[in-house]
Order: sequence, then structure tokens, then C-alpha cells
Amino acid sequence: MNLHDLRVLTLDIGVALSAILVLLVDLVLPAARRKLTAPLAALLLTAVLVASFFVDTTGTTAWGAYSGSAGTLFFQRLFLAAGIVGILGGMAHVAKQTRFRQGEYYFLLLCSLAGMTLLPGVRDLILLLISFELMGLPLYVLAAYEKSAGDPQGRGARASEAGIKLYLVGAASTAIALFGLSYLAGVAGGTSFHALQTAHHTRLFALGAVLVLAGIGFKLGVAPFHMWVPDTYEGAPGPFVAFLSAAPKAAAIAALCAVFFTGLGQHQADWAPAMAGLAFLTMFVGSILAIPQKNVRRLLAYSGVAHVGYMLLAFATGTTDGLAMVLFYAVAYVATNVGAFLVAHAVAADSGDDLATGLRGLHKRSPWLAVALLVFLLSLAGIPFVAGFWAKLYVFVAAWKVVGPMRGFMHVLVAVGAVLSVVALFFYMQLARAAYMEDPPDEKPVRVAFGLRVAIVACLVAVVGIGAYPGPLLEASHAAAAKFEAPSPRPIPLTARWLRMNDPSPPRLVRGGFLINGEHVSDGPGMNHHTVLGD
Amino acid sequence: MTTPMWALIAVFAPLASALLLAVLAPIRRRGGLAAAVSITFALASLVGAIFAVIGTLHAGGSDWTRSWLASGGALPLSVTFGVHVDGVSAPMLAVVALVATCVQLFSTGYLDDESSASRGRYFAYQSLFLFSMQLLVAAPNLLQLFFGWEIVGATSYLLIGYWYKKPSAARAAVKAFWVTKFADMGLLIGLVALFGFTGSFEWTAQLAPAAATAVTLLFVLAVMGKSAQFPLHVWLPDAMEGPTPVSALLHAATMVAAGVYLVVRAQPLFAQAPFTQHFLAYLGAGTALFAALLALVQTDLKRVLAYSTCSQLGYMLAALGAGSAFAGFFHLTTHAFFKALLFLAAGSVIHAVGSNEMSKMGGLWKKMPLTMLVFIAGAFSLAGFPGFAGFFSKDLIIDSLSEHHLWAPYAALLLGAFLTALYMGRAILLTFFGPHESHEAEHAHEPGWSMKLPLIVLALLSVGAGFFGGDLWHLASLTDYVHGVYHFRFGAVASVLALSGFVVAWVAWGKTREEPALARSLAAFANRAWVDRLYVFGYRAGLLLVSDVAAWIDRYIVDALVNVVGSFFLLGARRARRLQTGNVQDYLFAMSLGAIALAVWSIWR
Amino acid sequence: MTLTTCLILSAALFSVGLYGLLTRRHAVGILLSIEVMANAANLNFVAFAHYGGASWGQAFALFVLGLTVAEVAIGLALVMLLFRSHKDVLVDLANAFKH
Repeated sequence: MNLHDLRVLTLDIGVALSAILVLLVDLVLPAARRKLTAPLAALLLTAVLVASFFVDTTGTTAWGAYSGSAGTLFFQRLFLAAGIVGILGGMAHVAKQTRFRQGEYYFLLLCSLAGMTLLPGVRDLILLLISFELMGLPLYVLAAYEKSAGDPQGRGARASEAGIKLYLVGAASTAIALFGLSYLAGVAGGTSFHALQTAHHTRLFALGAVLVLAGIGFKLGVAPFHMWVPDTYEGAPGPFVAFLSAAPKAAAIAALCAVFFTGLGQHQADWAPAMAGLAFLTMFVGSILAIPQKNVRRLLAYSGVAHVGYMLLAFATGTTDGLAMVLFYAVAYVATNVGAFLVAHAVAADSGDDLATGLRGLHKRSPWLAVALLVFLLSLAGIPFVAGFWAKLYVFVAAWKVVGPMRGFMHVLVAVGAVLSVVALFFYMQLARAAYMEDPPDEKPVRVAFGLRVAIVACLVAVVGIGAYPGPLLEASHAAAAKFEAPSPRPIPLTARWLRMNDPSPPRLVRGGFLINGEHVSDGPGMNHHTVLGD
Repeated sequence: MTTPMWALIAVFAPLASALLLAVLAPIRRRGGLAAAVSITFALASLVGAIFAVIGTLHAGGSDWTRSWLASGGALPLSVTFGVHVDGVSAPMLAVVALVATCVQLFSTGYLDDESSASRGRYFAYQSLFLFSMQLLVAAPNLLQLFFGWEIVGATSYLLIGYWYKKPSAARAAVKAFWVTKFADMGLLIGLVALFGFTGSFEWTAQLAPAAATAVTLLFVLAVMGKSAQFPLHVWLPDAMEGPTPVSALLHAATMVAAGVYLVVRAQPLFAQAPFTQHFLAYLGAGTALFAALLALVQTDLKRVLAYSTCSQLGYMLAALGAGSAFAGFFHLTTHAFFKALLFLAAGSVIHAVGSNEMSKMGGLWKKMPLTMLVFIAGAFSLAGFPGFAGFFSKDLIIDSLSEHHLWAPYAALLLGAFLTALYMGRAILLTFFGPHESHEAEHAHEPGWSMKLPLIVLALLSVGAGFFGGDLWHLASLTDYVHGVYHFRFGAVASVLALSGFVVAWVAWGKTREEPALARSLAAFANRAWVDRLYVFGYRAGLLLVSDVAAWIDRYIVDALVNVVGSFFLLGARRARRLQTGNVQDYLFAMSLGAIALAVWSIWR
Repeated sequence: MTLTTCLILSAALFSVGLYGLLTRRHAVGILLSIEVMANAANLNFVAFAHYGGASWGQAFALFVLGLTVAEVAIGLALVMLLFRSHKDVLVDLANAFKH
């Protein structure tokens, strides 16, 4: 590796260094000043975000294991923005609840972000695993990041339950995904995506693909891997939930893009129907189970599950157009969902009440907060002309236009999705009704901390901006999606070629490669050494 | 600075003001400051519009557009936003900005006894309204026009309901909103249909004859709502519950003109639909006559003017129906001046007397000579008194109908011209002459300069604007589809009718404030209560019948379906949520089942 | 011993882990079961690499070992937290959130 290679990783290195810097600064700061770590972390992330506009990160590095492009940049900017908003939104809560451990909170958050920024660019299964875990491990800790007390009803107990549920489901799903990865890599005979692209299709390979899908599906909250979602959202610290509900999901989408689109793009038959099925189940479960929820966070959790279903619907098309719509949806979803959770957190932090009743009469208490909530709800429900409307519309259009054997099924899914969005309207409007039609418990305005206010306004601007002027984002997502396309089939290497010939004497695996018709062919990492992907 | 840049200023200066006032509460709460901000930006808009007119005169029309919705592969949709400056939109921008500036200036005096916070709110609405109107006028395609149209509707709702504590005002606001909203559906459906047929939102689109008729008829529905044409005019008289300057700006000069403007703008589409044009001619002429009759028997000064507005909008639409876009457009501009003037003068009277009822006025000519003079100037202009602005434009309309041999509408408009002079004569006599009818009328006095100045400016325009018809024609003809000819011809018949209208009014109301036998015999035909009751009965009966049927369908079919489906979902949800036991091992179990199901599928598919 | 026997062995190991994951109530038992599942994957990696004649499998297995150590460390910390708030480490005690 030379300096040229490191340039590709500028943003990832920037985030990682920021994490370390925050930890070091936290070490030297006296306890009273530790709340400075939050603005520091936000500032560092902003610097990285600004740098993303000036540094050219396109290229391939780490022996082909990482490839930067407009596609990775699209996701990285989204993660960085979500990280900044997440930090600003959580400042006050973290400073109040865990005064002496603030630095670690931001360190862990930045570590998770470092994992996320790596994900869209991975072109190797080992790096995929590492960055996925780098993203996931800090989240387990953060979910339980409250003052731990002996009181089984207290905040600490709630957070520990949120943490342990997230952890157990997460660790188990990692194990499942790992098992799938072992099949993928084993059949492909290597860990690089290039090996995946050229791998011969076997049942073991298909099995590996769906197990990896299950593992990533956990992080996305795809039904039936979604059951941790409402419980964790209910118990974890409020502002962290805003982050957890958005950024890791977008990162999981990035992982799907990398693995399934770039890596397994030539094996769509192995995963696209399964993904369409999961999309159906996820839309359905999310929309239906949200109806009876009384707790705002649980409601938003299920609504988030439903939204993931819509994203999967577009992903299952397997087309670049569909992928572009997924990316558009991801941005709209992140902005809207973070905003909605932050408003819910702002109200709950003021009244200590997570139930929908806490929102009652919000517009008489804090009209601006109520307007923000309304805009986010409209966007979640997909009402014109806010971000969520275009996202949903584009997803449906992309799914409708799919051609091939899945066409009929996709049309059914679009119809189901349209019906379910009407169902969803019902529970979103219940929240809006509570905020606008009912009388407030008291007339006191909701106190909103400065950072939280900035974060909510940022989300509001994004949602309204995308809604009013979706053109640039649409173009950006199309450009980004094109970068995830699997490279067109190359000359098939010998290792794969024998599998297509009806060779009466099957090749034998020998040390150092294969023996085909007496010819020794080496395979493994060495073969991918000079491969440049994504060009 | 290029012409479109000036137009951009004309459109977006009021938006800047609205945002300033909305976001910066300290400015808004100080009413005087808010007024200053709003008027300054309205003036900026006026300056921008004037330079846009000059630029158009020198160099013709031009556009500034940006892509709004890129097609982006998935959707076959490409829509632009921006400004389209040509011989129609540039003068319209200027007229709107000019009237708005006058009205805002007038409002500072008119609303001086409101609290300063609520005045701030008023000017925030006013700025937003001006922005939406300019957005509509400068729209380069029908979709942007539709957005402007909708915001105009929303701000109209806010401004009619400005005195929201007054139940009648709140009701009137809701009524206006629903009636125009109902009509707007026509525009929305028409736009979707247009897009379906042609894949664009351009008014220059070419359609099959049947499609053109369908689309334009849908547009006409929206026009009927916005421009208060029979039978959707019902909201306009009630909208007089808003402050009088609001009536002057929205419900006389600009907002109601949006419907007419839409027809002018979409002339290439309407030209493809002869049936719609005929319909428009008869609709306009019918409304012109009908509303003029109703205006004659009103006792509320503002309602006289409101019905008069319906009537005049009918004239414009009749001209457009006859295919003479220029006649309609010309009358649109002159009407904006003299009707705003009449409303503001009426506002000045109402401000002094404290009532809308003409029975409480009388004899004000001694107390308020300037107001009387400008009111008479406006009335003469409205009635088409020779030499005044309305004379030129109204004559052009009546001429255009005779040219196209639309004799029934022609006769209706001639009769309407007579009635116009008659009801305006009556309003002048009842308001300014005769004895004082109330204590307030005795102690009335001229308003301050902030109210006088706009009156004088508008009065000058109402008197003189007609002489610039040739220039306006020169400007408008830059737009290739504005047909019609401008020729000054002394309309003898209409003039005689207008004069005789005034004479009859003098005979009837000059000496006595009693409704004379003539008026009574007219009232037998067009008694307000009778017609209104009949009208309300018919309207209600029709509406109630439709709504009863709709309610029945809604209650027993739609509701039943919704309830069944809803309870299905709800029951399902209640059952399904029990699966979420709270025990993490059950979650692991579900997850494993999912993974196994996927594995089974992948192996045995 | 062939590749197939190795794959069958690892599949059996994975199933054992999965069974433990679903039946153990004790948090540490569940952690151990997850370890068993991860090691089944490791066995696959090593087997594939051995019979494929390349070293990527060993490398992957080493990375997995490192990651699972980190994962278990966090898991044990969370179990400690569970113990502190619920006075026991049976995972079904943490069921305040449901439906």
C-alpha cells in the first residue's frame, strides 16, 4: 500500500481518528468539562463530512478488498450526517444521565460510524465481517448505556433489557451469517467479491447467500428477524434510538448493496425471490403490528419495520433503477425517522412519558415542535410533498416496472404495499390527532435542549427540502446505484470454466488449487491480487 | 439584469418577506415594523415586475427555468419550475404587485385599532398571498400554476378568517375553502388527465378534440370556483367577512382573477375545444347578468361590490369564450384597478361609519369628499362611462361577442351594462347623498394619508388606464396565441345604456331612500331573499340529495367495508402482537425458523 | 476424511449450537451456544481452505476468533448488567417490554 491507496480510505480513517481523539480528550478533561466531548465529536464528524466534498476517494485499495466510488460516498455522507444529528440530539440526555462516561459514549458511537463508513466499499467477505461487527458491537453497549441501578423498574434495568435483547439476537444472527459466509467463500474458493461474481452456482452457494441475507436482515429489522426492534427501541436511551433506528439500517442497506448487488449480482435467482418474500412479510408485519401500539417508540419501531419492507421491495427488483430507489428511500427514511424519534424523545424527556398520550395537545404547548412532528408523520405516511412521498412513489414505480419471472409477484406486492400504506396512515394520523386535536395535560411549553433543537431542524429541513426538490437527490442516487452494479461478466477464469464443460472426469481439489484434466490451476487470494473492481 | 431575473425578484421578494415575518417573531409582533417590511418587499416586487415589463417590451418574452423533478429513469416525468415572462405574465405581475402594494399601504391605516401582533400576522399572510399569486402568474407550466393556485386558496382562507374569533368570519373562511377546494379538484383531475394524454404540463400541448374538451371542461370547473361563477359563486359574498382591504386584493383584483388568468394562459388548450369556449361564453354572460341583478338589491355595500365582481368576471370569461383573449385580459387589468379602488373607498367609508350597511350611511359627501370622488371615479369606470378605463375594456368585450355572433350573451352583457350603472348609481346615492342615517355617519371624517394615497393612485389608474389599451395590446400580442384585435371604437349602445342606468338610478333613489316602484318591480324578479332562498333551496336540495346519497353509500357500504377490513386488521394485530412475548428466546426461535425457511427454500426451490 | 464429512460435522455442530441457543435459559449458556455456532463456521472455513489448497480460510477463521472474543466480552458485560438489575441471569427475566 502506498499513500495513493490510503487516500481512498480518507473518510474512514478520519472517522476512526476522530473516535480515538475523542477518547483521548475525554481522558484529559476534568469531569466537569466532559460534556465538551459531544461538540468535539460533532465538529470532527462535520470536518470529515466537509472533507468528503474535497477529497477524491474513488479507487481501489487494500488489495482489492475496498473500493471507493460515488456509491460509497453517497452512503458515507448519509452516515456522517446521521451521526452528527445523532450526537447533537443526544448531547443533553447523555450529559444528564451518564455524566462521567460521556466520552466513551461518543467514542463508541464514532467506532460504530467507522464500521458503517467502511461497509458500502467492502469488496471482500473478511472486510465485510469486520466492518459489520465494528458497526454492531458498539451498538450493543450503547443500547444499555444508562445509569445502572438496582431498581428493576428503573431506567438502568430497562436499558439492560434493551441491550441484552439486541445483543443475543445480534450475536446469534452473526453466527448464522458467518455460517452462510463460510459456504459462500468455500464454494467461491476465495473471499473476494470477484470470486463470488465468478463462482459456480451450487445449492450450497445459494444456501450461503440466504443465510447471509438472514444475518444482514437482523440489522435491518426484516421480519421474522425484527422482534428485537420494538423492545430495544422502547428500553434504550431515547436519542440513541433515533440513531439506531436509522443509521445502522442504512448501513445494512449498504451491506446489502455491496454483497448482493456487487458480489452476488450475477446470482440474482438465488436471493431476489427470497428478498421479495421477506419484503412482503416485513411490510405486512410492520404495518399491522403498529396499529395497536400505544407507546410512541414501539409504534415508530414497527413503522420502521414496514419501511424496511418497502426498501426491500425495490431491492428485490435486482435492477439498478430499483437500487437507486432504495438509496433515495434510505435517505428519506433516515431524515424522517431520526426526526420523528427526536421529537418523541424531546417530549418524553420533558414529561417522562413515552406513551402516545404524552403527545397530547403538543401544538398548544409547542407549536413548532408539533409542526415538525406533523411533517415527519406526513413523510412517514407518504403524503405529498414531503420526502417520504417521493420515496414511496419511486419504490412502487420501480417495483411495478420490473420485468421477468417475478413480474406478477411484484405487482401483487405493490398492490399490497399500497393498501398497507393506507393502513399506516391510520396509526400515523392517530399521533397527529393526539398532537393537534386533544387537550394538553398542561400548557407548559416543552423544553427542548439546544442541540436537540438543531438536530430536529436539520431533519425538518432535509425532509421538506427533499420533498420540495427531489431532483438532485434522485440524480445522486441514480449515480450511486450505478456504481454498485456488478461488473459485466469477464472472461471466465479456468477454475470456473471447467464447471461449464461437461467434463467426464471432474476436477480434483489438490493442494494449491484444482487439477483439471491434468492441468494445475491455482486459486485463492493470490489470484485476485491484481483485480480491480468496480471500474 | 435580464428580464427573467427581474421577474424572479417580483416573485420571490414577497416570499422573503413572508419567511422573515414567519420566522422572526420579534418583527412580526411589532405590527408597524411588519407592515414596513411587507410593503418594502411588495414595492420590490413591483419594481421587479415593472422592469420585467420594460424588458419584455424591448426584447420580447423569455424564460428562466430549472428542472424540478428529473425523470431519473424510473418515472417518465420531467417538470420544471421558474418564471415565464411574456406579454401576458409581465403586465399581470405588475398589476398584482401594484394593487397589492396599494392595499397593504391602505391596510396600515385600516387595521390601526388591531393589536400589533395580529397586524403582524396579517402582513405575514399578505406577503404569502402576494408570493403565491406571483408564483401562479409567472408559472412556466400548469403544474407550478397549480401550486400557486393552491397556496392562493390557503392564504385566502387565512385572510377571510383573519378575525377568527368572529363566528361568521370563521364560517365564511371554511365555506370559501370548501367551495374553491371542490372546484380545484377539477384543475387537479384536468392536470392529471392532461399529463396522461400528453406526458407534460404545458399549455401548448396538442390534444385530440374530445380530450381537449374534457380537460378544458375540468379546468372550467376550477375557474368557476376561483372566479366565482354561477353556481359556485356562493362563497364570494360571504368572503366579505374578511377585512375590506383583503376583499379589495383577493376578492376583487387578483385572486378571483386567477381563474380568468388560467383561461388566458391555457388559451391554446381552450382554442382546441370549441364546445368549452361556447359554454364559457354563455356561463360568463349568464353570471354577468344574474350577479348584476343580485347586486341591485343588496343593502350591504360590500356585497354590492362582491356581486359586481362576480358579474365583471363573467364579462371577462364571456370574452374569453368568444375567443378574444385580449379583451378578457384587458378588462382583467382595468377591473383590478377600479374594483380595488371601489373596495378601498368602501373600506374607507366602513372604517368611518363602522358598518357595512348602506342604511347606516348617507350624506357622506360633505364629510368625505375625496372618498366620494374616488368612489364615483371607480363607479364610472366600472359602469363603462365614456372615457373611463372600464369603458374601453368593456366595449372591447361586447364588441368581441357581436363579432362572433354570440347574440344571446351579447344581449345579456348589454343588459348587464345597464344594470351595472344602475346598481352603482344606487350605491353612490345611498352612501354619499341624502340625509345622514346614523350617528356615526354624521361624525365621519376622511381617513389618514396612508389610506388616501392608495385611493388617489388607484383612482388615477381607474380613470386613465383605458388610454393605454393600445400599449397593452402591443405587449400582449408578443405572446403568439393572444388573438383578437385592438381597435378603439366608440361603443355607442353600451355608452347610452350606462348613461341611462345612471339616470334611472337618479330618478329612483335621487330624492328618496325608499326603494321605488321600479326597484320593487325588479325586486319581484330578483328580490334578494327570494332568489337567495330559491337558490339556496335548489342548491341545498341538490346538494343535500347528493350528500344524502353519498352519506348512505358512505355509511352502509364504504363504512361497512372499512369497518370489516379495519376490524380484520385490528383483530389480526391484537392476535399477532401476542407473539411478541417479551422473552428473547422466542425471538431467537422466530429468527431461527425464518433462517431455516430460507434455507429450505434455497435448497429445494 | 473428505470435505463432505467436514461439512456434515460442522453442520451438526451448528445444529447443536442452535439447539442450545433455543433451549438454554441461562445467559452464559446461550453465549456458549453462540460460540459453538461460530466455531461450526470456523470449521467450514478451515475445511474449505484445506481442501481448496489456499490459506484464506485460516485467515478468515483467525479473524472470526478475534471477533467472537470481542463479542463475548461485550456479552458477558451485558450479562453482568442483567444480573445487577434483575438479580439473576436467566434471560426470560428480561421481559418488561412485550406485545
